[in-house]
Amino acid sequence: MSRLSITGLGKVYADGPAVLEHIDLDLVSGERFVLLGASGSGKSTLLRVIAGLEEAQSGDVQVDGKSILSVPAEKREIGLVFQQPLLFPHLNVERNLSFGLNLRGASAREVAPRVEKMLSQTGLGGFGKRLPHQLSGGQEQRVALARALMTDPKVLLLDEPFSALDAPLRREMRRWVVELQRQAGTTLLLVTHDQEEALAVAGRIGFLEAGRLRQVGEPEDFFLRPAGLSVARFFGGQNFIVGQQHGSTVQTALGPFVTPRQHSGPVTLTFRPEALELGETASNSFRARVRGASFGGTFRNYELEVNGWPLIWHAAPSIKATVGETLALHVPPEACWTVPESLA
Amino acid sequence: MVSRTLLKSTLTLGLGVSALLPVVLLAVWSFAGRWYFPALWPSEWSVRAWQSVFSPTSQVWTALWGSLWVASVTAVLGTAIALPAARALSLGTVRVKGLLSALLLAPLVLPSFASVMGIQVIFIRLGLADTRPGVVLAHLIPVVPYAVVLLGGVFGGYDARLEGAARTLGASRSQVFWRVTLPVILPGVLVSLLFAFLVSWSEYLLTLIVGGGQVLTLPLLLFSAVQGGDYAITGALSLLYIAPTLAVFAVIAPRVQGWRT
Repeated sequence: MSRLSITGLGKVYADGPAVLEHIDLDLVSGERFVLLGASGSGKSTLLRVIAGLEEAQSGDVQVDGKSILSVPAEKREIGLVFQQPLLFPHLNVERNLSFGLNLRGASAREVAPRVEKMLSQTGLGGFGKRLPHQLSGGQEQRVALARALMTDPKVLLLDEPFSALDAPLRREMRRWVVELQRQAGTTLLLVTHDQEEALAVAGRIGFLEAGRLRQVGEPEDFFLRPAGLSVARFFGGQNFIVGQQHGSTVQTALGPFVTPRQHSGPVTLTFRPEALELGETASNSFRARVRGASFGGTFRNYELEVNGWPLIWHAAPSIKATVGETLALHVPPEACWTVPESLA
Repeated sequence: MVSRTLLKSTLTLGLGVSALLPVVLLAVWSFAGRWYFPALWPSEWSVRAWQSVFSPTSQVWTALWGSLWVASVTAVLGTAIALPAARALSLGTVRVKGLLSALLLAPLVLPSFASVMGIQVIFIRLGLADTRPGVVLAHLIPVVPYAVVLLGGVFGGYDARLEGAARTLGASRSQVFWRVTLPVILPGVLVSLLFAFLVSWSEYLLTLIVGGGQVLTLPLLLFSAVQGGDYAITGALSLLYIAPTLAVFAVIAPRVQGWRT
């Protein structure tokens, strides 16, 4: 149970752009934090800096108030699990698990019961004598996680640990990691490019873009109150309309919209595809022509057009509209959000 | 597929015969008392050659020990030198990679005879001429490039990220090497040791020049026997020369096919 504080962390490669720019992040003890970002956003680099496998040029990383940047990787007590299991190919599962404890000089008598316990906790009972190449991908990744947990790290870092697995296995592994983390109480920092994974695991989420932390908050903040257009797009936002905001009202080509956010100046108005509702209201209302329709499983996907602006509507499956039809729609004010042009 | 099995066993047999037949001939020669052309078989048998080879005044033991000493030290040193070089070259952490690998592999292209003539002058000044360490240094000229090429292939299939994983589990840099890197690449290291040993074992010219006749190895003894024209003794010495390499091969080869990475 440890607190992880990152302040003003910056990293630049010799002949490249900044990889990390002034990252500030605070993880409370026992928290599950997910860092989300596209590939190349610097999220893996951040984990490698925290684990001590790469160096940063500026800023500080502290665990429980003590700077760890000058501590070598092997003394940091920070576990790191990678996208690939990276099990030691010459050691069987048991000896992969006991690797860290053996280095700490633990006796075979201490280690054996802990390995046994970890094997049963991770559903790997009976696999102790197998070599890594005799395991399936999911089993290998479970061994990798178990191996990292064996030494009771203060902070556990997971770098896209499930992305090499297929979807059902991925979901199972996520549930399992959350469960293990709850039992161990370890502070967890998971990095992923998968929004669904972030939502399944996270207490809080941070969005990293081009080496900058663009937004930190609760999962629903990213859907309803995105800090920028890239954040909104990453979380599935598809409706963006430029306008001029005065106070809480935005003038757009679709008409006036009332939003919960106060601002003055040029903005982009955004609302979720599922926020549109049938019917006319005094503001936040428009008539849209249906240009395309498809069935999306749990919703109906309508492509709309309003005065030349394309909109996407994820309607309840019970709402059936035909292509070419004109509908009266509105968006409740609390579902509207604006991003100032300077942050777009 | 009968024809395919047949082809395979024929080939194996052919290879086996062509590898073993010269050895059999050597054995026959070593026991031949009289064997004149055009006889297909010696007309008289004798253990004279073996008696002479193992006689108390024979130089065989000195030469055998000299060969083993030089080849073992060369194999270990050469592999130890080649290991970091091969790692840096194939894991791509060096900037002037092309130039460096060209320099490292140059001795494979240039005849080592040419370079050793220049080196000999320096060795004499340093007191390395006519000594075993001097001969080892000279043998390293052809051995290191071979080992670099061999180990380069080994590192090609090696995932260096294992080392990062080991670090986060609490292993220091030296523990990472002894507990992860070396065990994982061990089959390749053994092959490198074997080849380095064999290259040094069969080296004649470099030993002759740098050793100046003071460092005696089996090839030197063998050459003088050949020049002496005594085929029986040449046969016996040749067998002695082959035996240790076969033994080393028998020890290392089964260990090379161990685990997969």
